[in-house]
Amino acid sequence: MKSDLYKNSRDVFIDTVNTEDYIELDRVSGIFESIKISITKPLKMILLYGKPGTGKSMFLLKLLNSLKSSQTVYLYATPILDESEFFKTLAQDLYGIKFNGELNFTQFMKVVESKDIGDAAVPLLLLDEAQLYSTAQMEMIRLLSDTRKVKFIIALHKTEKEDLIAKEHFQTRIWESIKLENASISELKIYIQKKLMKANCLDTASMFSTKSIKLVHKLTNGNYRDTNKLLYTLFDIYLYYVQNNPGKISGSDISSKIIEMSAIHTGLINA
Amino acid sequence: MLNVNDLEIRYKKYKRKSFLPYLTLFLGLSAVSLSLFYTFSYYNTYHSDTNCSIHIETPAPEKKEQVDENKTKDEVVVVKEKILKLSPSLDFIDKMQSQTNMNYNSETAAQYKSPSKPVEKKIEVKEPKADIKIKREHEYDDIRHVIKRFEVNHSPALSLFIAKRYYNLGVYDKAYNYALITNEIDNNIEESWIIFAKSLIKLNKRDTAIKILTQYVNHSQSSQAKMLLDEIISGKFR
Repeated sequence: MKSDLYKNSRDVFIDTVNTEDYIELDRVSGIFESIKISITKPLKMILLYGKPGTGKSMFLLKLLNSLKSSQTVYLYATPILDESEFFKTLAQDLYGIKFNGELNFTQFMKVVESKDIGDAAVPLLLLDEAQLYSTAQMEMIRLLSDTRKVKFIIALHKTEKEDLIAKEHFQTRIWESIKLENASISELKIYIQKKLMKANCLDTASMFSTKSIKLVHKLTNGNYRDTNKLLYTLFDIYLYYVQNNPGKISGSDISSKIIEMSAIHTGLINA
Repeated sequence: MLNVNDLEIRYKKYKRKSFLPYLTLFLGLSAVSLSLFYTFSYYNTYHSDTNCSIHIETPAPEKKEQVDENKTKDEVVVVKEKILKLSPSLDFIDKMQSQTNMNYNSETAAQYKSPSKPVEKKIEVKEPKADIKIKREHEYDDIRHVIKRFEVNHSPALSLFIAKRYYNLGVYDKAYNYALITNEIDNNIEESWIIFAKSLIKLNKRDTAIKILTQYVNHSQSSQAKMLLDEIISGKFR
């Protein structure tokens, strides 16, 4: 049934952060492998930055799943903005110590200094949406990394903390800065088709011609989040037409008209 | 909440807006081209006369004419004609001939009567706005050429081509005939059935067209034919 096909294709593009939905692209795979190697080195922090929708959260989640079997690694997908809560969570996760009252930075640093990790791998903390942390918290994170008893991979939108990161004392602690970018046209084509084929939607995967991919790329600039939103709406419209007005969807390729209608609905086209 | 009907309206507005700059540009370029064309035509018509007179009066080769004044007037005319062939205007020679006709005796004028007639007409027409009708006789030549080829090999692709060309030229009875021939050779060509039905509509045979198209749609499940049938029934296609 065509309606089932379009429904399944639509649901493929629900915008969630789930490693089962992770699509491997050559360029990002290369970055992933390079980070896995860098982590084994005596670094303090790695900076991962890029515009919203370039796959930073998905990347961190993938990294977590890949490393958790071999070393201590924690992902803080949502920033803990309260300082005391932040350090209490760190103490719990890293050292299994539960604090009932308040815990400030100084007290936490004493705990860290007292711990000897020996030959074990240095624990790794993955901080997503780090642009939401206050400047003071970022400075504390820097000082924590100086102890060499915790490593950090910090993911942020560069615009927010650009000034802080650019400061020399922060820069010298950053082992590596990695930028995640939007997909190119060919990468976007692979992304869309792989996502659909993973869900056994082979018919709809083959509907995407180079022309339609180029139009999608033009509208979304290759941004994964915008692409997901656009294609979800696209297949929603296809589902509507197949149920109510099948004459409007003829031909074997994705209609440029329906792509543009989806873009109008999602706000990518201002109309 | 997805409201597809509203989206369709917004899409149409968006498309109209996006075409507007191109339409404006096209209209602007057309207006500029037309005005240049008429200006150039007017300029050409106006200046060709003055050029004639300049060439006659001034250039050095005309001194030779003075030397040759002892020759007959016929010979002078021939010399002038040779000089004037150097002029850039393509109509120049003819226009010169019409000009010089006025200066010669009737004998010399009589020699140039026949070529000058069309030139005189050109000189008289000074209005910049002339209706230009392009006859498409070469289109019919093309069709005749294809018909000859069809008569040799009876290819349905050729008969379909002929049917489509006649349809585009508005010769619906012939379009109908050739679509019918195509269907008889190969009744699986969707385009042929489409032209067949459209020709019948144009020949005011709506009921026949609907009947035949319905049968074809039931047989082939063609979406194109179905769309045409809906348009005929709803009156969109007439």
